[in-house]
Amino acid sequence: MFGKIKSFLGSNIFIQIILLSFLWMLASGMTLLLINLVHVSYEVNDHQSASIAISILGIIVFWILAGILTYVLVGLYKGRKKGV
Amino acid sequence: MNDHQFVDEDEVLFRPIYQTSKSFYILAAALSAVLLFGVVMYLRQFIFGLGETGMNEPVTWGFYIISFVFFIGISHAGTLISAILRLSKAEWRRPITRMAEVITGIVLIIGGIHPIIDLGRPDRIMHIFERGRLQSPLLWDMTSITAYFTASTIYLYLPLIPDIALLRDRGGKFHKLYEILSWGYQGTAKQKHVLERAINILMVMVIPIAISVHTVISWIFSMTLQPGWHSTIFGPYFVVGAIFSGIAALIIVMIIFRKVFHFEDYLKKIHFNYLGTLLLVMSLLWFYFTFAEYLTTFYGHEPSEMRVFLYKFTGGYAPFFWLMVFCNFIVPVVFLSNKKLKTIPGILIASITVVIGMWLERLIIVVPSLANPRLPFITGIYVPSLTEISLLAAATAAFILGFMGFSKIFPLISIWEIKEGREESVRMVSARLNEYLPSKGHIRKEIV
Amino acid sequence: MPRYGMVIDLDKCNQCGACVTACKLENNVQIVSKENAEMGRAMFWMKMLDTSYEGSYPDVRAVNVPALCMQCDEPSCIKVCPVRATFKRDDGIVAQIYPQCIGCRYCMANCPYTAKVFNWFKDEQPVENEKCQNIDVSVRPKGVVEKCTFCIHRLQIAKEKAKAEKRELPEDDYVPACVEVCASKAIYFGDLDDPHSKVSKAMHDYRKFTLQEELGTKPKVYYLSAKSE
Repeated sequence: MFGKIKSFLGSNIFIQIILLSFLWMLASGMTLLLINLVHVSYEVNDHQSASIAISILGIIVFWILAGILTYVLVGLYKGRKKGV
Repeated sequence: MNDHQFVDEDEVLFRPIYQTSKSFYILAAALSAVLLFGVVMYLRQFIFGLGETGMNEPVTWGFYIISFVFFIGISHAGTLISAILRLSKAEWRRPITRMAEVITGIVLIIGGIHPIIDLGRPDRIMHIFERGRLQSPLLWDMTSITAYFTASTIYLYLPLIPDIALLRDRGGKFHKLYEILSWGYQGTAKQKHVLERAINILMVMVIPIAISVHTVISWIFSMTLQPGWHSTIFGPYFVVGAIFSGIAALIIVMIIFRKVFHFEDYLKKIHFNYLGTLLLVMSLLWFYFTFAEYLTTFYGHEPSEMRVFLYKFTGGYAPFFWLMVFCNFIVPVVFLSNKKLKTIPGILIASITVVIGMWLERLIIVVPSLANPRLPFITGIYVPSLTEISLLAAATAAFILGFMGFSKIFPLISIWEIKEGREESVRMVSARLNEYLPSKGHIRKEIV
Repeated sequence: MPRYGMVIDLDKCNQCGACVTACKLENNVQIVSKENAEMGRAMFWMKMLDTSYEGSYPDVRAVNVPALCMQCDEPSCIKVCPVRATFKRDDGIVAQIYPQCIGCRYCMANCPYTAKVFNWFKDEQPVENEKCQNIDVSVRPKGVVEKCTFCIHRLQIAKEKAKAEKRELPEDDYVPACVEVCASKAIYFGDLDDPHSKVSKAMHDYRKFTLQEELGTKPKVYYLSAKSE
C-alpha cells in the first residue's frame, strides 16, 4: 500500500494537482479577503454598498477563472488515449 | 533522454530553446547588472525614506506612478490583441499571439510592483488586506490587476499546452517540466475540443477584464478633484492609450526576435503591415481623444484648469508636451500612412517613438496637475532623482530579461497554431466563405 | 456632539506668523534640511500663503493668509485613502492615524487645499528642539502623511481633566496652539453648533467666506475679510 502511495506522490499527477490547487487557493484567498473588507466596511459604517458590489464582482471572476482551468485540466486528463 | 536530431519543418521555432549564443549570455549579464543596480537603489530608498526620490509637495507622485500606468498600459497589447484577433478569426494572428500574451504576463508583474515601490511604508502593506477600503480606487485597482493577471496567465498557458506537448515528445532538456505542464496532452479529438472551448470562453472573458483594468487605473486620477484629472474621458482615453502603447511594444518585440532568432519566414512583412495599420488607427484615435480633452478644457477656460493647460502647452512642460504629440501622432502618421516609409525599419521607428511618446503622455498627465494645485499659490517643480531613473531602467531590463528567460523554455511562436494554419486553415476559411457568399451560381467548394 | 470649527479674521491678522511657529513647535513638526526645503519638502501644518502682492517695486508687500487643514465636513481626502488612515470623527475633526498610514499619498493628491505634508526623510533635528519637544504629541515616523489636527491632543487632555474634576468641558479650555498664540486675537475657535460660542457669533459676520467654496468640501475654517479678493 505504501508503494502505491509513494508512486502516487512521485507521479506527475500529484505535482499537477498541486499546481492546480494554487489557483483554487488564489480564488479562495481573494474571496476571504474581499469578504473581510466588506466586514470591515460594516464595522466602520463606511459605504457598505460599494464594498459589497465590488466584492461580488471580484469573487465571481476569480471562481470562474479557477473553474475554467479545472475544466480544461480535467478534460485533458479524461481525453487521453487509452492505455497511457 | 538523448537529443534526437529532429528536423521538424518548423525547426527554427524550436531552436532558441536548445541553442544559446554567446551574445545572449552577455546581454543577460548586462541586463542583470542594471536590474541589480535598481534593486540596490530601491533598498536605499527603503532604508532612508522616499526622500531619495525627487517628489515633494505638491508633486507627490512622480516616476513610480508614471511607470506603473505605463507598464500596465503595455499589458493591453498582449491579451487584448490576442483575444480580439482570435475572436475575429483573423488568420494572420497565428505567429503573433504567443509573444503578445507573454508581454502581458511579464509587464503586469513589473507594473504591479511599482505602486509598492511608491509606498512610504511598504512594510505596512498588510494593512490593505486587513483593513482596506474597497471604496478607494487603489483597491479597485488591486482587484482588477490581480484578476487580469490571473486571466492572462491562464490565457497564456492554455494555448501553450499543445506546444509543451510537442516539446515533451522531442525529448531533451526540461523533459520532466514539459511532462508535468503538458497535462497528458496528446492531440486527441476530445482534448482538442476541451482546449478550444476553454480558449473560446477565456478570450471573450478576458476582454472586459482587460478594459476594466486600465479604466480603473485612470479612475485613480479622475476620481480626484485636481484640475486636469477630474475628467470623464479618462476611462476610454487610458484604454485607447494602453492599446496604442501595447501594439507599439508588441511590434518592437516582434521585430527584435524576428531578427535575433531568424523568424523571417513566420513573421512576414504582411504581419507588420497589418499591425502597422492598427498602430496608425490607434494613433488617430489617441489624437482624437487628446484633442477632445484639451479643446473642452480650453473652451471652458476655467482658471485652475487653464493654469494646468498653459503649463503643458506653453509653460515649463511645453517641451515634453510637444515632443509627446510629435512622437504619438506626427511620426506614426507620417511613417505608417506612406507606402514608401512603411517598411519594417520604418514601422520599428514609429513603434519606438510611440513607446517613448506614451511614457511622456503619462508624465504629462501626472505631474502638471500636481504641480499646479487648485490653491494657486504654489507651483511645484519635479526633478527625478537617480533612484527613480535607475528603477525605470531596471524595470525595462526586467522586461527584456523576462522575455529572454521565456524564450529559453517555451517557443516564442505558437508552433501548433502555425501547423494548424498550414493544414486546416484553407478548409476552415473556405467553409466560412461559403457561409458568407450567396449560394446561387458557381461556387468553388474549395479554394486551392 | 460638538462640531469644531475656526474663523480667521483677516482684517485683524497682522501676518506676524506666530501661529505658524506655534503650530510647528506644539506638534513636533519636523524641521527639514536646507536641501529638502529647497526641493519643496518644508513641513508646515499651518502655512502663510502669499495670496497677492501690494504696491510696486521696490515697495512690494506680500499679503499673507494663514492656511491650514480646513477640516472639511465633506473631506475629499478620506474618500480615497485605501486603508482608512484618515477619516472624519464625529466631532468634525478629520483624523490622521499615523500607524495605519502606508504612505501612498493619495490623500495628498486629492486635497484641493494642499494641506497635507509627507515625511520624506527623518532629518536630524537641531539640538535645541530636543529640549522643547511636546511630550503630548507623537513624533511621526518616516513615510507617513500628517496634517493639522486642531491640536487634538489638547482636546483629549482637556476632556480628561474635565472628567477627573467631574465637570463639563467649558469653551475656553480647549484651543489649538495657533488660536492661543495669536497676538491680535484674530482666530476664533470652538463649537460651530453651539449658538453661544465665540466662533458661532463670528460666523454671523457678513464678511465671511471660505476658500474654494464651489468644490463642495464644506471646509470648517472660515475667513473674514472686508476686501473682495
